[in-house]
Amino acid sequence: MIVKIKLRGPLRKYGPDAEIFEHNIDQDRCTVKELLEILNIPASSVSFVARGENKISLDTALKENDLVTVYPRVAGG
Amino acid sequence: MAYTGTVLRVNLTTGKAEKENLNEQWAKDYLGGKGLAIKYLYEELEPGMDPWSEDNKLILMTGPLTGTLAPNTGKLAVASKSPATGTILDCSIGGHFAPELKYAGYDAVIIEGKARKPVYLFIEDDRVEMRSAEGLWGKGAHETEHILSETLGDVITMAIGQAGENLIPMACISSELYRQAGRGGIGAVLGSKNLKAISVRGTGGFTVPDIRKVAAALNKIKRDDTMTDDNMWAYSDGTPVIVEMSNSTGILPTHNFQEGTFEDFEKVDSEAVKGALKAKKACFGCPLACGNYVETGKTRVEGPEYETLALCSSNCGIGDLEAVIEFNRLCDDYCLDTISAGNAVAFAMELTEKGFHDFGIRFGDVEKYLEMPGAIAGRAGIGADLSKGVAAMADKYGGNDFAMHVKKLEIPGYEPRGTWGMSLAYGTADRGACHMRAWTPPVEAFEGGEMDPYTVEGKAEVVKDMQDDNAVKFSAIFCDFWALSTERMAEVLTMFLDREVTAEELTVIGERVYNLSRLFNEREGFTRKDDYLPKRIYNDKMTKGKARDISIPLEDYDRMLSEYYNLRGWDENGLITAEKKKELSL
Ligand code: SF4
Repeated sequence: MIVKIKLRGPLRKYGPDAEIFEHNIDQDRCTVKELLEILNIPASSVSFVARGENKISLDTALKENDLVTVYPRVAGG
Repeated sequence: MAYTGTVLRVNLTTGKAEKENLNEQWAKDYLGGKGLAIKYLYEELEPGMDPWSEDNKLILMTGPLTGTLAPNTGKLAVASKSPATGTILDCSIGGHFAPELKYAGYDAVIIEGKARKPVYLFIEDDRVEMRSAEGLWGKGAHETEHILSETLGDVITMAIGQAGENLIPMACISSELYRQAGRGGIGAVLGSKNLKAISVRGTGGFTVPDIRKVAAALNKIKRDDTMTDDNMWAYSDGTPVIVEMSNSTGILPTHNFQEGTFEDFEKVDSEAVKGALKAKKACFGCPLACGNYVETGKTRVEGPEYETLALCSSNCGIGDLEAVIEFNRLCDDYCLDTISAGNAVAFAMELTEKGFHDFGIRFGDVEKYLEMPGAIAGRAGIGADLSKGVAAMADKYGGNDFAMHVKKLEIPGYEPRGTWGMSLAYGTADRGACHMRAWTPPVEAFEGGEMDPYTVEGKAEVVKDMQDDNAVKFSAIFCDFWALSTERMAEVLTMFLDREVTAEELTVIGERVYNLSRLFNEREGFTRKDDYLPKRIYNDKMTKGKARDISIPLEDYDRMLSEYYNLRGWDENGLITAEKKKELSL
């Protein structure tokens, strides 16, 4: 299954140097949590994940061709 | 001991500058920065005093860690009674002014009175001079700083632009070109005193008992607690990273808070800002360097920060990064607060489109938009109305329900209907609508599932805790972009103070500081009725984005407010009870 991924802020370091990249997941079923594990992104560094326009939970199962954006934690404002 | 123990008191009416001892008991009870500045103002300002009069005072207050090696401690608190709101006002300004002042030998400067003619203040260690600023009056902050550096050599300067001189209630103070003490008209307080700038050079220092041990411990903290994923967003992106996060959660103010998502957000988000990035800039001793120095074809600025992007881009319907950068540069030079200026422009746009009054400016009109900073700072044309802020505009032209302010201070860049805790944060912030007292989006809108953003349940406690935590952070002076625990604050403070500081003690200080600022406002006549947002937030549902079809029912807000007062030990009218005052030794 191929998904498109956007990593934001300091999380960019966990992917190739590109705004959006594709990742071929070697399994039929993959949740957001598993995707983060595959990419070696600590869940504690993530504030939320969105699919298209919608915020999704860590247990959401991904689908072929999903565009997933992973946002960092921020403080202050 | 990281305090110098000395306060410089300057009276512009008499021309006298005198040193006095720092009040040690107050320094213990309020630490420094925000808390200590408010304590001095509370004790020294007559209740009901006109903030435009020469009886008002301006305090520059460092913190106990200012000028040390501790990371993220280089900011300065600048406090006064706000001419915009009539409340207590404290702002935080980064850069290098605060450590320079400490090295000159002062914990604080208290400025009183009013000069007969424009002056600037030059502080070089023991030498304090009020010099004529007649050649500087009428100039922007950038040129003023440049001239003062040419005249005085190596100094750090805080200055006002034309907005402050013209007593615009949204005038800010600028330092090192691009750092600002932004809100509540703090720049107009300088203007009202005929004080154009303050330049400082400090050649002293102070000693730390066991510097090797302290340096090693601080390096470890920097590595393990500062330069971590949690904080590195500040370096990798800075605040623009929040644009996309706010947009996708429906809390990016758009078209004067009519909506919470902006169709052109990608033109002004962090990736777009990175496209113009030339360098990163940091305050004194900060490893995070959140400042983005950007250049596009015709213009350059340090910024734009998230707040500027939210209020001056999406909120005005301007999806043109170069225009926003130019607007930002103009505001910085004239010294206008971009949050209030962006709000005033957006309000004029909506009043025009809705037929309340024709200001001749509409959402997305880049050409007119770029004329606004100059018009506001010089009270020219429609700028004369806009310069007074949205509350005054609504008094004159109507549209009160969507004049976006609390206590006459314009609302910052988080649409509260998509993150309900923020409505309480704005309602109960000490200086009027402010996002730096409690900032709830990370725990409700951004973070997955921890708290439902569209309920008032549990929000009173979150807001109270954040306010107290930030009050101690801004008093000890740690930059708010370092997400550090109270225990860590205590550990770092203990390294530099000659006593053991505990997390419990800091928690009490935070609560004391927040209550003192409330007490100041209470003395000025502020009560529960002043803790409400414009009706739009309660009555109008947004039509787009994640928070569409949502508004905050007034009865829910009322319930949350009462719960908050109860947690605080305040009565139903929002007044601090006698027991609470006693408990906090107020
Ligand atoms: S994070 Fe930014 S604002 Fe805070 S101290 Fe560092 S450079 Fe200054």
